[in-house]
Amino acid sequence: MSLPHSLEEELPTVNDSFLRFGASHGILSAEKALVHVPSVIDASTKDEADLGVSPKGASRTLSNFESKCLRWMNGVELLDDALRNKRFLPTGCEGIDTLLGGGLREGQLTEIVGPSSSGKTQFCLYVASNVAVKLCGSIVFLDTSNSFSPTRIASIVNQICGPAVKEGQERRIKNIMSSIHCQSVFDIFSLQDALHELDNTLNMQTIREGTKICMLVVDSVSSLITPILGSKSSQGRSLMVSVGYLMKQLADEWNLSVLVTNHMVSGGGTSKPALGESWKCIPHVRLQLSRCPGSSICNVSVLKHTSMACNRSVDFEIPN
Amino acid sequence: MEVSVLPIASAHKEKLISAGYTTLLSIIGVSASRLAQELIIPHREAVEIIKVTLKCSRAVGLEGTHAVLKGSRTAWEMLSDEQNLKLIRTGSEDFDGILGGGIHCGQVTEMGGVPGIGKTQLGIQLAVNVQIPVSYGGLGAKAIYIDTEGSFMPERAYQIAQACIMDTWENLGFSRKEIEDCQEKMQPDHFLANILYFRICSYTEQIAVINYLDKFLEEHKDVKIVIIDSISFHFRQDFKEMVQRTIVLNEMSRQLMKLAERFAVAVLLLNHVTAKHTEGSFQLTLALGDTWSHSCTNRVILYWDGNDRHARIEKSPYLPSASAPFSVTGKGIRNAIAHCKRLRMM
Amino acid sequence: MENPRAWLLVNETAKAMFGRMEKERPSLVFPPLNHFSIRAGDVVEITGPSPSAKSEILLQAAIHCILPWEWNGICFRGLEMVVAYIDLDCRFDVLRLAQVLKLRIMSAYGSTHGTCRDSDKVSPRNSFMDSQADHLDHELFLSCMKRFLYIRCYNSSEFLAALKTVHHGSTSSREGLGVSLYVLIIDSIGAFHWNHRACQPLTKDGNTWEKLSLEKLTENVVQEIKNIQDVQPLIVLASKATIFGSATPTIHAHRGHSEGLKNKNKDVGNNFSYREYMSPLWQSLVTKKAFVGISDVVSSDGRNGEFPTYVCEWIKPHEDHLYKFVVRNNGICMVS
Repeated sequence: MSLPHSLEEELPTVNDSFLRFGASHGILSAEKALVHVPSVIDASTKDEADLGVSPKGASRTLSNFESKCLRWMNGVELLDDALRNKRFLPTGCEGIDTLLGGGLREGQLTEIVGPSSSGKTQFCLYVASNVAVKLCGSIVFLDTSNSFSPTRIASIVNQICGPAVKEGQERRIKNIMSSIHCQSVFDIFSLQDALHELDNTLNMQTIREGTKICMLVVDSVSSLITPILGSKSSQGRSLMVSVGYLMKQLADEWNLSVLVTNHMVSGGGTSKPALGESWKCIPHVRLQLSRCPGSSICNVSVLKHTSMACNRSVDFEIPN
Repeated sequence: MEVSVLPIASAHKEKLISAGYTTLLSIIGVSASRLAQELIIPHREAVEIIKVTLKCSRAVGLEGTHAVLKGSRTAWEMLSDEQNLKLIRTGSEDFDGILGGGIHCGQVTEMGGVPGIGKTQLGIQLAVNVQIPVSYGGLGAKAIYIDTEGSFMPERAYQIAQACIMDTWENLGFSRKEIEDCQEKMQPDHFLANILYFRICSYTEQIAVINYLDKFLEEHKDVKIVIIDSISFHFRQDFKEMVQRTIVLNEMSRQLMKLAERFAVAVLLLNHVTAKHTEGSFQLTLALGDTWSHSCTNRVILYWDGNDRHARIEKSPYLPSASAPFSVTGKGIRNAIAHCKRLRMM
Repeated sequence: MENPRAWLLVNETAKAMFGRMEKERPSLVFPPLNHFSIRAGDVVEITGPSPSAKSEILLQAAIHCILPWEWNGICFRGLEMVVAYIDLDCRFDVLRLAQVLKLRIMSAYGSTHGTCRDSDKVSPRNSFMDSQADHLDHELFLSCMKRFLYIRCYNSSEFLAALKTVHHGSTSSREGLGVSLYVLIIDSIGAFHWNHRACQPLTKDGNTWEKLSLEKLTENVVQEIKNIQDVQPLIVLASKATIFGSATPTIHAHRGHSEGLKNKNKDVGNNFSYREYMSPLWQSLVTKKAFVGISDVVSSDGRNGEFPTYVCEWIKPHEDHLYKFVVRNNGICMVS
């Protein structure tokens, strides 16, 4: 949600004095103003002169806020936005694309769960390369376990581009690989910072030239979150949920497709995803990967999907 | 641009100025959590301050960094960096082959196998090989050896170093002059002096040493490999609470990855194996559980196949899964003997 | 009153009043919650672990509400009212809404025209890509979609602000569309539980509104909902995820009950015990409560593969019966 500052042009009642009033009470966003300004005004009607804003003026501004700021959308607008801005990013693995009705959706958070060496990282690298080649979009890869391999990316990109060595092939590969940005993050706080920074970057992107960032990969999100979940306090869960919401917000606001991985742990004989019940409300789509040891064919099944039936599965192979 | 123009609470302005953030650019350059920490304000407020600052600075035409994220690099830059990274050879060409040329610097590699397969031998071999001078195709660097089991044998290290020196000369052909030039460096004693050895007796010591490595590597930039033999010994014995163990291990692996990344050192973790029960059959897998299995970049399992020792890539982001035979000889790790014989016959 | 006698005159007969109430405040009946009618003033909570088709049920309710009773002589049995959907999980998929709505419209047309389209075969993307879908009345579709209002909230202050603006949305829709808001959907009410649980120690900070405590938040939410209901009679449907796995060693609110349930229904492999985490204040607002879950039984209709079967059970008012349903492409279907 935007700050009152950005509404200045649209709403004449949002003037400097209102902004100062808001700022001096730590109210920086429109919805916060809506929720808290009445109580602040109630509490401090006496020193009106200090505030520099009259209660009446403030409440008028607030009713303006109500009509302008909150983004109630109707179904038609929503559908229009979804069809226009939320593309399907092809993963490049045919089976998966048909399974998901076209690929990973922009605006959604897709989670991959699977045991160790089931192909999660390979899938991430493959999708990232494929999106970079086919859609010429930028990709941000947040790497938590040093598993981002530029060598592997190069070989995948080479493979997708085709073996024919043409003029300028080298340059094209260089361009493609320069559009994949990688950063290592080793704890949840740096992940949070990176996400906020990405938000700011995307904010700037609207005016700056360059390829659009269309995908964010976090491999693996669970290895950052599991260390903070152990303690009895709910602080860890709170961080986990807020990071989840942050990613969803980025996804929706900037039409990113977010791909995260989650590992499996064995508990009581069966293995289950490391992040438990409270995490389940975060991803839109949940896919489970599995691979028989020794074979190169992975199986992917849909555990959860917002618009399609679950429990369907397909085999695929990531070429070497 | 001054902080005073920002439309933020005056209390925040005061805090910003007293913490030294006087210009808009200085605020843009800092991360939200750092700002929250320095100003002692909630994280959300720090995020909002940065947002407001960015908006204001854009309004007046100031631009921050052009990278997508501070400190992020593109795959292309990383590729060229990686191609310049040196590899540490194991001594067996076949083994190097499946590893893509040897142990990579900047990565955490975990190797494990049944007792007697040659884990410690491999550790010593790599601690020696990393020291081969640059002119002989090595790295000319030092090694840190963290010994948790007390299995490091200096005599054996001396033997391996000697064999390594002999082989290096042999491979490059005899050139008396060169040998004399490097005389001082190419002495087994010198090799042993460059293995920095830590003996660990409990898991608390192990955690302490790993946390201390950050500082130690800062001071010893010429260290290129950290070997921990073995990572799991104390954790398999002393821990009762499994949840706690998982958390501690996770933290440790994060720390090791940070080290590998920051100082471009190779981290080699040696581990034991356990049998894992999956779908009715038992399979050999490395110890310390499922969560741990996610925490290293590369995993190699050493196993017996008949009378031959084999190594198999269990997990790696870029290496195809493959296996190769190797052997442990008096000289250290070498190609499998049977394989050599076959080659000779051909 | 000029004429005191007017007080004594009959305003309307009971029949007329019943008819009027039916028209103004119709009851909401949709599968799988069709056993009890849900009326204006009700606050219904749908609880269940994930996945248990909670969002699907809410979607079903929304579609039932936005469809008209009849259109061009074709009966849809909808309410033709406005729905406000507050999405706290941020997982609502408008494509799914469009898909189900289209299939509903198409099947109604199909049944009147005697041609039965194989609605299950239509894939979600294609179903609105092929614009020549012959039976689809586009005007009807658009007017239905306009009656659906949606907002996404990423934190609790956005949620509170959204609740504050619900009445604004409803007045503007009354002006624009001629119908008023009747159903308020909240998916899912417990979404910010952890954020506020963790915030408690920090409330001593100067900015008291920055960190609402959990109780305070629930209090505010309950107050806002009451305010809305005062202005306008409406139905509130809220989903609630059970965020504690059954493995947590805590007192299960419905343990005794659930064990009886398990014994009776061996085919339902689910443990229906869960821990209540919303404050009693919210509990007292809830007038009806249902529990949903997924069962091990997989139903198959031969053509389209297998669907997991979900079960639904009323807790308040209590009823000892499990309703089974499956989720198809065209919405929820009950199975006996």
